[in-house]
Amino acid sequence: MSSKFANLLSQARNRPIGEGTTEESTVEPKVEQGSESSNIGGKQPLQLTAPTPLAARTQNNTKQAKSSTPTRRTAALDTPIQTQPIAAEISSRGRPRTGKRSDPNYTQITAYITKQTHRDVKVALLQEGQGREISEVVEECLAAWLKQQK
Amino acid sequence: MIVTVASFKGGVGKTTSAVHLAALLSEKASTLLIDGDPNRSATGWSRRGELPFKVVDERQAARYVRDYEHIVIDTQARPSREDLEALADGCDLLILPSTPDALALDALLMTVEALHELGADKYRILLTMIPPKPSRDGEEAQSTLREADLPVFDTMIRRQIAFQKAALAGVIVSKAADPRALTGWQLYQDIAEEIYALGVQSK
Ligand SMILES: Nc1ncnc2c1ncn2[C@@H]1O[C@H](COP(=O)(O)OP(=O)(O)O)[C@@H](O)[C@H]1O
Ligand SMILES: [Mg+2]
Repeated sequence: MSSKFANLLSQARNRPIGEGTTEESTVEPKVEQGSESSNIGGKQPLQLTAPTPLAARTQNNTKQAKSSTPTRRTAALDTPIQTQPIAAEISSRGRPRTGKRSDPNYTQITAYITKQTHRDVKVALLQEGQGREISEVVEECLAAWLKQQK
Repeated sequence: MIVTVASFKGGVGKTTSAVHLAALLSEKASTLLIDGDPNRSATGWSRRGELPFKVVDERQAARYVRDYEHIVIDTQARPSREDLEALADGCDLLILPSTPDALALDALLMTVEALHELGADKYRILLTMIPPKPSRDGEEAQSTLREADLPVFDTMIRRQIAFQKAALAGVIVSKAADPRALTGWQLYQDIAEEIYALGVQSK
Protein backbone atom coordinates (compact mmCIF):
# COMPACT_ATOMS: atom_id res chain seq x y z
CA MET A 1 0.00 0.00 0.00
CA SER A 2 2.16 2.80 -1.22
CA SER A 3 -0.39 5.48 -1.85
CA LYS A 4 0.60 8.97 -0.85
CA PHE A 5 -2.99 9.41 0.31
CA ALA A 6 -3.31 6.42 2.60
CA ASN A 7 -1.63 7.97 5.62
CA LEU A 8 -3.24 11.30 5.04
CA LEU A 9 -6.71 9.86 4.91
CA SER A 10 -6.32 7.84 8.03
CA GLN A 11 -5.11 10.96 9.81
CA ALA A 12 -8.00 12.91 8.44
CA ARG A 13 -10.44 10.30 9.63
CA ASN A 14 -9.06 10.27 13.12
CA ARG A 15 -9.35 13.99 13.48
CA PRO A 16 -11.87 15.41 15.89
CA ILE A 17 -14.98 15.86 13.84
CA GLY A 18 -17.84 18.22 14.42
CA GLU A 19 -16.00 20.74 16.52
CA GLY A 20 -17.67 24.08 16.26
CA THR A 21 -20.49 22.85 14.10
CA THR A 22 -23.94 21.68 14.95
CA GLU A 23 -24.07 19.06 12.22
CA GLU A 24 -24.01 15.70 13.85
CA SER A 25 -21.81 13.12 12.31
CA THR A 26 -21.34 9.53 13.24
CA VAL A 27 -17.74 8.71 13.77
CA GLU A 28 -17.29 5.22 12.57
CA PRO A 29 -13.60 4.49 12.31
CA LYS A 30 -13.12 1.99 9.57
CA VAL A 31 -10.35 -0.53 9.81
CA GLU A 32 -7.62 0.06 7.28
CA GLN A 33 -7.78 -2.88 4.92
CA GLY A 34 -4.25 -2.97 3.68
CA SER A 35 -3.81 -4.10 0.14
CA GLU A 36 -4.81 -7.71 0.37
CA SER A 37 -7.73 -7.23 -1.93
CA SER A 38 -8.78 -10.13 -4.04
CA ASN A 39 -8.15 -8.51 -7.37
CA ILE A 40 -4.40 -8.74 -7.34
CA GLY A 41 -3.37 -10.73 -10.33
CA GLY A 42 -6.75 -10.12 -11.88
CA LYS A 43 -7.11 -7.84 -14.82
CA GLN A 44 -5.70 -4.42 -14.37
CA PRO A 45 -8.11 -1.87 -15.75
CA LEU A 46 -5.86 0.85 -14.38
CA GLN A 47 -3.38 0.34 -17.18
CA LEU A 48 -4.68 2.28 -20.11
CA THR A 49 -2.78 1.21 -23.13
CA ALA A 50 -4.09 3.82 -25.49
CA PRO A 51 -2.84 7.34 -25.01
CA THR A 52 -5.52 9.50 -23.47
CA PRO A 53 -4.30 13.06 -23.74
CA LEU A 54 -6.29 13.92 -26.85
CA ALA A 55 -9.34 15.40 -25.25
CA ALA A 56 -7.25 17.01 -22.58
CA ARG A 57 -6.56 19.67 -25.13
CA THR A 58 -9.67 19.68 -27.21
CA GLN A 59 -10.06 22.29 -29.88
CA ASN A 60 -12.80 24.04 -27.99
CA ASN A 61 -10.84 24.51 -24.84
CA THR A 62 -7.86 25.96 -26.58
CA LYS A 63 -10.02 28.24 -28.62
CA GLN A 64 -11.94 29.55 -25.66
CA ALA A 65 -8.94 29.98 -23.48
CA LYS A 66 -7.22 32.03 -26.14
CA SER A 67 -10.14 34.23 -26.97
CA SER A 68 -11.13 35.09 -23.45
CA THR A 69 -10.18 38.62 -22.58
CA PRO A 70 -7.25 38.77 -20.25
CA THR A 71 -8.21 40.05 -16.86
CA ARG A 72 -6.15 42.39 -14.77
CA ARG A 73 -4.62 39.40 -13.05
CA THR A 74 -3.30 37.79 -16.18
CA ALA A 75 0.04 39.48 -15.67
CA ALA A 76 0.51 37.25 -12.69
CA LEU A 77 0.42 34.28 -15.03
CA ASP A 78 3.67 35.36 -16.58
CA THR A 79 5.46 35.37 -13.30
CA PRO A 80 6.43 32.09 -11.75
CA ILE A 81 3.72 31.01 -9.41
CA GLN A 82 5.45 28.06 -7.89
CA THR A 83 7.73 28.20 -4.92
CA GLN A 84 10.93 26.24 -4.91
CA PRO A 85 9.80 22.91 -3.47
CA ILE A 86 6.78 22.71 -5.71
CA ALA A 87 8.76 23.56 -8.81
CA ALA A 88 11.14 20.81 -7.86
CA GLU A 89 8.21 18.48 -7.45
CA ILE A 90 6.98 19.27 -10.91
CA SER A 91 10.30 18.73 -12.58
CA SER A 92 10.74 15.42 -10.87
CA ARG A 93 7.23 14.05 -11.11
CA GLY A 94 5.31 16.02 -13.71
CA ARG A 95 5.30 15.74 -17.46
CA PRO A 96 8.76 14.68 -18.60
CA ARG A 97 10.47 17.45 -20.52
CA THR A 98 10.96 15.22 -23.50
CA GLY A 99 7.74 15.96 -25.35
CA LYS A 100 7.10 18.14 -28.37
CA ARG A 101 6.01 20.93 -26.08
CA SER A 102 9.55 21.33 -24.82
CA ASP A 103 11.25 20.52 -28.10
CA PRO A 104 12.60 23.68 -29.81
CA ASN A 105 12.11 22.04 -33.22
CA TYR A 106 8.38 21.91 -32.72
CA THR A 107 5.77 24.61 -32.64
CA GLN A 108 2.14 24.50 -31.66
CA ILE A 109 -0.51 25.49 -34.18
CA THR A 110 -4.25 25.88 -33.97
CA ALA A 111 -6.38 24.73 -36.86
CA TYR A 112 -10.09 24.22 -37.31
CA ILE A 113 -11.27 20.89 -38.56
CA THR A 114 -14.76 19.46 -38.45
CA LYS A 115 -15.76 17.66 -35.30
CA GLN A 116 -16.57 14.62 -37.39
CA THR A 117 -13.04 14.44 -38.79
CA HIS A 118 -11.58 15.00 -35.34
CA ARG A 119 -13.65 12.19 -33.92
CA ASP A 120 -12.85 9.85 -36.79
CA VAL A 121 -9.14 10.53 -36.47
CA LYS A 122 -9.18 9.82 -32.75
CA VAL A 123 -11.01 6.56 -33.31
CA ALA A 124 -8.67 5.54 -36.14
CA LEU A 125 -5.64 6.27 -33.98
CA LEU A 126 -7.03 4.24 -31.12
CA GLN A 127 -7.74 1.37 -33.47
CA GLU A 128 -4.24 1.63 -34.87
CA GLY A 129 -3.09 1.07 -31.31
CA GLN A 130 0.42 2.48 -31.83
CA GLY A 131 0.01 5.26 -29.31
CA ARG A 132 0.45 7.85 -32.05
CA GLU A 133 -0.92 11.31 -31.51
CA ILE A 134 -2.84 13.57 -33.83
CA SER A 135 0.24 15.79 -34.10
CA GLU A 136 2.14 13.05 -35.81
CA VAL A 137 -0.59 12.50 -38.38
CA VAL A 138 -0.82 16.23 -39.03
CA GLU A 139 2.95 16.45 -39.50
CA GLU A 140 2.83 13.50 -41.89
CA CYS A 141 -0.06 14.88 -43.93
CA LEU A 142 1.36 18.39 -44.20
CA ALA A 143 4.81 17.15 -45.12
CA ALA A 144 3.29 14.96 -47.85
CA TRP A 145 1.24 17.87 -49.12
CA LEU A 146 4.31 20.10 -49.28
CA LYS A 147 6.21 17.52 -51.26
CA GLN A 148 3.42 17.27 -53.75
CA GLN A 149 3.40 21.06 -54.21
CA LYS A 150 6.88 20.95 -55.75
CA MET B 1 -16.88 15.23 4.94
CA ILE B 2 -14.01 14.02 2.77
CA VAL B 3 -14.71 14.29 -0.93
CA THR B 4 -12.31 13.19 -3.64
CA VAL B 5 -12.52 14.16 -7.30
CA ALA B 6 -10.91 11.62 -9.62
CA SER B 7 -10.86 10.35 -13.20
CA PHE B 8 -8.69 8.35 -15.55
CA LYS B 9 -8.80 11.12 -18.06
CA GLY B 10 -7.34 14.62 -17.88
CA GLY B 11 -9.21 17.75 -18.80
CA VAL B 12 -12.62 16.57 -17.68
CA GLY B 13 -13.17 19.23 -15.04
CA LYS B 14 -11.66 17.61 -11.95
CA THR B 15 -9.86 20.67 -10.70
CA THR B 16 -12.72 22.99 -11.61
CA SER B 17 -15.13 20.77 -9.72
CA ALA B 18 -12.83 20.38 -6.72
CA VAL B 19 -12.37 24.14 -6.45
CA HIS B 20 -16.08 24.92 -6.67
CA LEU B 21 -17.16 22.16 -4.32
CA ALA B 22 -14.57 23.32 -1.80
CA ALA B 23 -15.90 26.85 -2.16
CA LEU B 24 -19.44 25.68 -1.48
CA LEU B 25 -18.49 23.45 1.45
CA SER B 26 -16.49 26.31 2.94
CA GLU B 27 -19.73 28.27 3.24
CA LYS B 28 -20.88 25.67 5.78
CA ALA B 29 -17.71 24.78 7.66
CA SER B 30 -13.93 25.08 7.46
CA THR B 31 -12.73 23.44 4.28
CA LEU B 32 -9.32 22.36 3.03
CA LEU B 33 -8.53 21.58 -0.60
CA ILE B 34 -5.72 19.07 -0.99
CA ASP B 35 -4.03 19.41 -4.35
CA GLY B 36 -2.97 15.86 -5.08
CA ASP B 37 -2.02 16.49 -8.71
CA PRO B 38 1.72 16.94 -9.37
CA ASN B 39 0.74 19.55 -11.95
CA ARG B 40 -0.52 21.61 -9.04
CA SER B 41 -3.37 23.17 -11.01
CA ALA B 42 -5.44 23.95 -7.94
CA THR B 43 -2.43 25.47 -6.20
CA GLY B 44 -1.76 27.61 -9.26
CA TRP B 45 -5.38 28.67 -9.36
CA SER B 46 -5.30 29.83 -5.77
CA ARG B 47 -2.01 31.66 -6.21
CA ARG B 48 -3.20 33.63 -9.20
CA GLY B 49 -5.93 35.20 -7.15
CA GLU B 50 -7.85 34.37 -4.07
CA LEU B 51 -9.98 31.40 -3.15
CA PRO B 52 -12.22 31.30 -0.09
CA PHE B 53 -10.49 28.23 1.38
CA LYS B 54 -6.99 26.95 1.99
CA VAL B 55 -5.18 24.91 -0.67
CA VAL B 56 -2.23 22.70 0.23
CA ASP B 57 -0.49 19.89 -1.58
CA GLU B 58 -0.68 16.35 -0.30
CA ARG B 59 2.76 16.54 1.30
CA GLN B 60 1.88 19.55 3.42
CA ALA B 61 -1.61 18.28 4.13
CA ALA B 62 -0.81 16.09 7.13
CA ARG B 63 -0.25 19.20 9.20
CA TYR B 64 -3.68 20.57 8.36
CA VAL B 65 -6.18 17.77 7.96
CA ARG B 66 -7.11 17.65 11.61
CA ASP B 67 -8.17 21.26 11.69
CA TYR B 68 -10.73 21.13 8.94
CA GLU B 69 -14.27 19.87 8.89
CA HIS B 70 -14.43 19.31 5.16
CA ILE B 71 -11.66 18.06 2.94
CA VAL B 72 -11.76 18.05 -0.83
CA ILE B 73 -9.02 16.17 -2.67
CA ASP B 74 -8.14 16.98 -6.27
CA THR B 75 -6.17 14.25 -8.00
CA GLN B 76 -4.14 13.67 -11.14
CA ALA B 77 -5.59 11.84 -14.11
CA ARG B 78 -4.98 8.10 -14.17
CA PRO B 79 -4.62 7.48 -10.47
CA SER B 80 -2.48 4.51 -9.57
CA ARG B 81 -4.30 1.48 -8.28
CA GLU B 82 -2.90 2.20 -4.82
CA ASP B 83 -4.15 5.78 -4.85
CA LEU B 84 -7.57 4.81 -6.11
CA GLU B 85 -7.83 2.16 -3.47
CA ALA B 86 -6.74 4.47 -0.68
CA LEU B 87 -9.09 7.18 -1.85
CA ALA B 88 -12.08 4.93 -2.42
CA ASP B 89 -11.58 3.48 1.00
CA GLY B 90 -10.80 6.65 2.87
CA CYS B 91 -13.20 9.25 1.59
CA ASP B 92 -16.90 9.71 2.10
CA LEU B 93 -17.73 10.41 -1.51
CA LEU B 94 -15.81 9.96 -4.73
CA ILE B 95 -16.86 12.28 -7.52
CA LEU B 96 -16.01 11.16 -11.03
CA PRO B 97 -16.30 13.98 -13.54
CA SER B 98 -16.60 13.15 -17.21
CA THR B 99 -17.29 15.09 -20.34
CA PRO B 100 -20.07 13.59 -22.45
CA ASP B 101 -17.88 12.42 -25.34
CA ALA B 102 -17.17 8.80 -26.17
CA LEU B 103 -13.51 8.78 -25.20
CA ALA B 104 -14.12 10.32 -21.81
CA LEU B 105 -17.06 8.01 -21.16
CA ASP B 106 -14.91 5.02 -22.02
CA ALA B 107 -12.31 6.14 -19.52
CA LEU B 108 -15.09 6.72 -17.02
CA LEU B 109 -16.35 3.20 -17.42
CA MET B 110 -12.86 1.89 -16.72
CA THR B 111 -12.73 3.94 -13.54
CA VAL B 112 -16.10 2.59 -12.50
CA GLU B 113 -15.01 -0.95 -13.24
CA ALA B 114 -11.88 -0.48 -11.18
CA LEU B 115 -13.96 0.88 -8.31
CA HIS B 116 -16.36 -2.02 -8.48
CA GLU B 117 -13.41 -4.40 -8.29
CA LEU B 118 -12.29 -2.58 -5.18
CA GLY B 119 -15.78 -2.93 -3.80
CA ALA B 120 -16.20 0.82 -3.67
CA ASP B 121 -19.72 2.13 -4.09
CA LYS B 122 -19.57 5.61 -2.64
CA TYR B 123 -19.12 7.35 -5.93
CA ARG B 124 -21.15 9.56 -8.20
CA ILE B 125 -20.60 10.60 -11.79
CA LEU B 126 -20.62 14.30 -12.64
CA LEU B 127 -21.12 15.22 -16.27
CA THR B 128 -19.22 18.40 -17.11
CA MET B 129 -18.53 20.76 -20.01
CA ILE B 130 -21.88 19.95 -21.56
CA PRO B 131 -22.13 21.68 -24.93
CA PRO B 132 -25.00 24.13 -25.36
CA LYS B 133 -28.22 23.33 -27.17
CA PRO B 134 -29.09 22.13 -29.72
CA SER B 135 -26.51 19.51 -28.76
CA ARG B 136 -28.06 16.73 -26.73
CA ASP B 137 -24.74 15.14 -25.76
CA GLY B 138 -25.31 15.81 -22.08
CA GLU B 139 -28.79 14.32 -21.91
CA GLU B 140 -27.74 11.35 -23.99
CA ALA B 141 -24.69 10.60 -21.86
CA GLN B 142 -26.81 10.93 -18.74
CA SER B 143 -29.47 8.53 -19.90
CA THR B 144 -26.88 6.04 -21.14
CA LEU B 145 -25.26 6.04 -17.71
CA ARG B 146 -28.63 5.75 -16.00
CA GLU B 147 -29.58 2.81 -18.20
CA ALA B 148 -26.37 1.15 -17.10
CA ASP B 149 -27.56 1.72 -13.53
CA LEU B 150 -24.68 4.00 -12.69
CA PRO B 151 -25.10 6.76 -10.12
CA VAL B 152 -24.99 10.12 -11.84
CA PHE B 153 -25.79 13.59 -10.56
CA ASP B 154 -29.01 15.09 -11.94
CA THR B 155 -27.25 18.40 -12.42
CA MET B 156 -24.84 18.65 -15.33
CA ILE B 157 -22.20 21.36 -15.55
CA ARG B 158 -22.57 23.29 -18.77
CA ARG B 159 -19.61 24.35 -20.85
CA GLN B 160 -19.12 28.03 -20.11
CA ILE B 161 -16.21 30.32 -20.76
CA ALA B 162 -16.79 31.81 -17.32
CA PHE B 163 -15.07 28.76 -15.82
CA GLN B 164 -11.91 29.36 -17.81
CA LYS B 165 -11.93 33.03 -16.93
CA ALA B 166 -12.31 32.12 -13.28
CA ALA B 167 -9.32 29.77 -13.43
CA LEU B 168 -7.19 32.41 -15.12
CA ALA B 169 -8.14 35.07 -12.61
CA GLY B 170 -7.69 32.75 -9.66
CA VAL B 171 -11.24 33.14 -8.40
CA ILE B 172 -14.37 31.06 -8.20
CA VAL B 173 -16.75 31.33 -11.11
CA SER B 174 -19.22 33.59 -9.32
CA LYS B 175 -16.47 36.23 -9.21
CA ALA B 176 -15.43 35.86 -12.84
CA ALA B 177 -15.90 38.84 -15.12
CA ASP B 178 -18.45 37.15 -17.33
CA PRO B 179 -22.19 37.59 -17.85
CA ARG B 180 -22.74 33.87 -17.21
CA ALA B 181 -20.70 33.78 -14.02
CA LEU B 182 -23.71 33.22 -11.79
CA THR B 183 -25.25 30.53 -13.98
CA GLY B 184 -22.08 28.50 -13.65
CA TRP B 185 -22.02 29.02 -9.90
CA GLN B 186 -25.66 27.94 -9.62
CA LEU B 187 -24.83 24.63 -11.28
CA TYR B 188 -22.24 23.76 -8.66
CA GLN B 189 -24.60 24.96 -5.96
CA ASP B 190 -27.11 22.44 -7.25
CA ILE B 191 -24.46 19.72 -7.13
CA ALA B 192 -23.68 20.64 -3.52
CA GLU B 193 -27.38 20.37 -2.69
CA GLU B 194 -27.45 16.93 -4.28
CA ILE B 195 -24.47 15.93 -2.17
CA TYR B 196 -26.14 17.10 1.03
CA ALA B 197 -29.27 15.28 -0.01
CA LEU B 198 -27.29 12.06 -0.36
CA GLY B 199 -26.86 12.27 3.37
CA VAL B 200 -23.18 11.48 3.16
CA GLN B 201 -21.97 10.73 6.64
CA SER B 202 -18.54 11.73 7.70
CA LYS B 203 -16.48 8.92 9.01
N1 LIG C 1 -17.83 23.75 -17.30
C1 LIG C 1 -16.76 24.16 -18.00
N2 LIG C 1 -16.95 24.95 -19.07
C2 LIG C 1 -15.89 25.38 -19.80
N3 LIG C 1 -14.61 25.08 -19.52
C3 LIG C 1 -14.36 24.30 -18.46
C4 LIG C 1 -15.42 23.80 -17.65
N4 LIG C 1 -14.86 23.04 -16.67
C5 LIG C 1 -13.53 23.08 -16.88
N5 LIG C 1 -13.21 23.84 -17.94
C6 LIG C 1 -11.89 24.09 -18.51
O1 LIG C 1 -11.41 22.89 -19.07
C7 LIG C 1 -10.04 22.71 -18.80
C8 LIG C 1 -9.82 21.43 -18.00
O2 LIG C 1 -10.51 21.53 -16.76
P1 LIG C 1 -9.88 21.04 -15.39
O3 LIG C 1 -10.84 21.34 -14.32
O4 LIG C 1 -8.49 21.59 -15.22
O5 LIG C 1 -9.82 19.49 -15.68
P2 LIG C 1 -8.91 18.34 -15.01
O6 LIG C 1 -8.57 18.77 -13.64
O7 LIG C 1 -9.77 17.13 -15.07
O8 LIG C 1 -7.71 18.21 -15.88
C9 LIG C 1 -9.61 23.96 -18.06
O9 LIG C 1 -9.10 24.86 -19.01
C10 LIG C 1 -10.88 24.49 -17.45
O10 LIG C 1 -10.84 25.90 -17.29
MG1 LIG D 1 -6.73 18.98 -12.71
